[in-house]
Amino acid sequence: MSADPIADNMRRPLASARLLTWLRDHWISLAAAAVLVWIVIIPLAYLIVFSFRSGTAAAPGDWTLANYALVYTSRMTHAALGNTLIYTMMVATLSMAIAGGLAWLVERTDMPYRGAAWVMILLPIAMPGMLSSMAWILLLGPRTGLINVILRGLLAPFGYDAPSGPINIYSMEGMIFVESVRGSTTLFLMLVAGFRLMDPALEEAASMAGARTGYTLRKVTLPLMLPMLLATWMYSFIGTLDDFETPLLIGLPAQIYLLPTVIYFTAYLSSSWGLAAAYATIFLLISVILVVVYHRVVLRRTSQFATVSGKAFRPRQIELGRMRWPALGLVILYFILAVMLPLLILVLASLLPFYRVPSIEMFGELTLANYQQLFSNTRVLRAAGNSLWVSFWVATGTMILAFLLAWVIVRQRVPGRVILDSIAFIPHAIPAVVVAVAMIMFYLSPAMHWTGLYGGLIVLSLALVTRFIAFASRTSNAAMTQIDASLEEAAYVSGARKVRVLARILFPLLLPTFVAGWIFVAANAFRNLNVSLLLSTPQNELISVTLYDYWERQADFSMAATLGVVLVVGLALLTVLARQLIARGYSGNE
Amino acid sequence: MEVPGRDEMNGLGLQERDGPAPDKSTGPARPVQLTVRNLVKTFASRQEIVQVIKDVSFTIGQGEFFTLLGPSGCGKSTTLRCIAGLERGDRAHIAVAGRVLADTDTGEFVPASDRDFGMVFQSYAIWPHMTVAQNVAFPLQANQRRQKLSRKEIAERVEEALNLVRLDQYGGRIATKLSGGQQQRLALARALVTRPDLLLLDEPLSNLDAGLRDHMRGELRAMQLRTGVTTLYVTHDQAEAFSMSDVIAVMDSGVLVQQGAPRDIYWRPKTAFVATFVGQTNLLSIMRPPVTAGSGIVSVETGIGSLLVNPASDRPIGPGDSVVIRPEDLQVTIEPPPAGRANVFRGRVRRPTFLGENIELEIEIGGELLMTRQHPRFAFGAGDEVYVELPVDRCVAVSGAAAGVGSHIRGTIGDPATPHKNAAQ
Ligand SMILES: Nc1ncnc2c1ncn2[C@@H]1O[C@H](COP(=O)(O)OP(=O)(O)O)[C@@H](O)[C@H]1O
Ligand SMILES: [Mg+2]
Repeated sequence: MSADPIADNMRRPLASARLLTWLRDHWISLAAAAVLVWIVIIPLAYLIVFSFRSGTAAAPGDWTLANYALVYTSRMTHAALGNTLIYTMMVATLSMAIAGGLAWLVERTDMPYRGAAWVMILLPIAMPGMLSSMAWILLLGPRTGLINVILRGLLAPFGYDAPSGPINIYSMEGMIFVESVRGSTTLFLMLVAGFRLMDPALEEAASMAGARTGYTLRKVTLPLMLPMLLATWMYSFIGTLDDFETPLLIGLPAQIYLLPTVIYFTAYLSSSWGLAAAYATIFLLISVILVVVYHRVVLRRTSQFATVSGKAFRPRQIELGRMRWPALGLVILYFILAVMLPLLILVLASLLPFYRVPSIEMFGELTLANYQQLFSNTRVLRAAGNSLWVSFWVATGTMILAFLLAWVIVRQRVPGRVILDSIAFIPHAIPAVVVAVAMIMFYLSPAMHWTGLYGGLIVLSLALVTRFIAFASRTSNAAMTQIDASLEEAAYVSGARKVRVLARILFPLLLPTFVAGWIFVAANAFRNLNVSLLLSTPQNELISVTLYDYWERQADFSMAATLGVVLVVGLALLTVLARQLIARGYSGNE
Repeated sequence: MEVPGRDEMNGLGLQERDGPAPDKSTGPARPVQLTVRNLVKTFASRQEIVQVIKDVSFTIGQGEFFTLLGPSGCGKSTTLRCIAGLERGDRAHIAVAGRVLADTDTGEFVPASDRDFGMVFQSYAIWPHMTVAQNVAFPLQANQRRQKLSRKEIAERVEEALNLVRLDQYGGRIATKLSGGQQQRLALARALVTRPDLLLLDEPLSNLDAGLRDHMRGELRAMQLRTGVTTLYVTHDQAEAFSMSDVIAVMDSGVLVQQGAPRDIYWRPKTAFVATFVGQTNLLSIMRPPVTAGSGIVSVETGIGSLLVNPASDRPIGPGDSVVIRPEDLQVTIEPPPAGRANVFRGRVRRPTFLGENIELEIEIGGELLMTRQHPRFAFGAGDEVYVELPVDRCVAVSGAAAGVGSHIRGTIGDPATPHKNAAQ
């Protein structure tokens, strides 16, 4: 204790001076946190608030529960909830079955050509959902679907003379089929990882005890894998809940509404924004609960299960015997359904001057005219330019934000960084349609409308950043933890301040992750429909929206197919490039 | 066999420089370069709050090589990092060359980037995406706001620093392609290139293999003497500490337990912990409060009988404290030493181990085992009856008893080890 209080006060800097020092030291952390809150928390908060108000987004009215009352009494709600439940459960189960079978064949059996099988199973990743839906409509449309036409020809001798059918893609079954085939690839990768973790000794013990292969599979392997299978199923369920493209392209014409399409319908087609906000809030709640349960309960349980060990050796391979070739046949069948048929029909459609009921004669009319037209179409070119602009800035913005967030979360000792980590993860649980609706409402609101941002590419880009930030933040965090803290500390001690350390040390060290993540985000932003369809305007159209427009509103299937083929080829090239960069990144870090 | 006594050995011209008298080799007092006062640091995890540094204070003179020595986990690195500005002390006053860098009373805190220190990390922290020369140039570029240098000057300074560590041939090489020893020297060049006020080294040799480590000890010390940079060195290795330091500060569980010249630390330990941590030692438990025997010497009762010893400090000693004597200080003879000598006991050789450069013996005296090293030409056999003299000036009464410090300790048998008071906190 000093006897001289004045001298004491002189030594103690003013609170405001301390605050200034703190701000000077932490402005980067603060800026990153502010951007994150701006793009994640504020639009969501506004969406929820707005769902309790009457009026329009641009001029909100009084507080009310009317929106929820309407949701509760609407027949559409009940139908949509029921449909969504059936659709997600069936798709999750079916794609699990497909992915599980494929993973088992590739990982645990002596099926021939397993290397080629890998490629065949992974290729569908390059196929956007919108395109596989379109392709299957061309294949299985009740009147003009190629397969239906062929089937009708085959069945005619047996007295089948209806003008449509026998298969109708515009049905719940059709939606489930298309989405299950498409959604299997990610699950396949997860299941392969799960298979690899299983301790082979457990199975070997069973066969030592005299059990035959089938018995071991049922009594040992399956029960052991059950927790992992359940976790994967739930992951698939949550992912399917967010699926928008199949419900939009197949469900909407069939008048089968799911939660995402109901929101799209109420918000966009009937402009009932309050109602859409209420639907979106409910959808958000469901999704958040599921994601929390998945991460808090399911994943934690699975990792606790004693069945998995970190052993690196491969489990014993099961001999298929005579079933080896039929097994490969199944993989090829999957490949045909998931990639070959859809691609072939799209290419065929793109080579026809206009699409109509397929016949033998039309092979004489094949032409590249559509491609010529595509590359001279100003609307398409402008949309492609917009898409490139958006993908570039979204990928750059997302990765920079994720990089800075990872630095704050992993390295900076600022209070609240755990909260920041959670906020960055929230978008993982927000359905895409909800992001879009929230963004629209926020930028239409009186508070933001004056900025004139609504309807522009900036809001669209911000929405896409929100969409991808959870993924980017996770990968960046993981990469940042890999970098020894002393590399950064050595730079501070050398006299470098934070900006220089970030730019000269951490950024170059993280560049491989940054580039891989950038390509992933850019490719996904480029093909995105679920966010951009709601946020795109005719003046600021994205290429995915143009594609949808050609298909849906102008019914110009040939033009849509042409654009689709170009997109698939472009995306496939980008994916290959990304894989190579990632592979090189890993070896470069050695 | 005739064994020469201490006097004869001196008569042979073996000058005893290494006596227990306070070491004067540090020379005249140097001006203070680093001041650390009342450093306290706690880490809070989810479960508990641990005070890792408990009020540590010390100063380092200009140009001094100062070593923080202590077992792993005692808080050496944390102390170093607080000085570097990489951690903030809960309480601290840190100043270098009169410039206050951190003071929790006034709220002053200079960030690591503005402290102008050089630091070598245990992992070297060589930036893998830069060449050797770029690594060394970085601190100069980062310091442009303090010291504006042209490209040419930077290149010269880099050249000079690489010359100093004999890496001038390697400037264009990618840094990660260097061997361990070269990376270590690169880290040193990078730390020295700005001619810092203070050089901080955190176990810089621990990642090298044994031969290289011994070699680098000499190089490091030579470099420090040549540049004259004030150096704070952190290690858990007593050989490193002894061979390089002007001053050693021994740390235990976040407390600085003793500070002094290497010889002081070795022969005049203040606690049983210091004695057992630096080198092998014999520890004998004190049974009863001591009796003064004149001229600073006291008589204490131990397991082998009563001993005349030197108290290590003014702190009163008693039961629970110990007597320390180094193995090489025991005088072992077959013939009885001349009459009138103190601290002479009869014992029996239990386990002679011939090691080449010396012979290691365990001698049992009244149920206690004492460890000693003797010249290898003395051929002792198991069971031999011998006379053991514990020279009074080599017996130091220290506070505390043996704690589980592992291989460093050779103490009494049948004496339940009481935890050291600091370790128990
Ligand atoms: N960032 C930290 N958070 C929590 N505890 C830490 C941290 N850094 C060090 N510690 C703890 O502080 C103690 C001292 O660590 P350290 O200074 O690294 O020891 P030394 O360098 O002497 O081996 C150890 O018990 C260690 O676990
Ligand atoms: Mg350490």
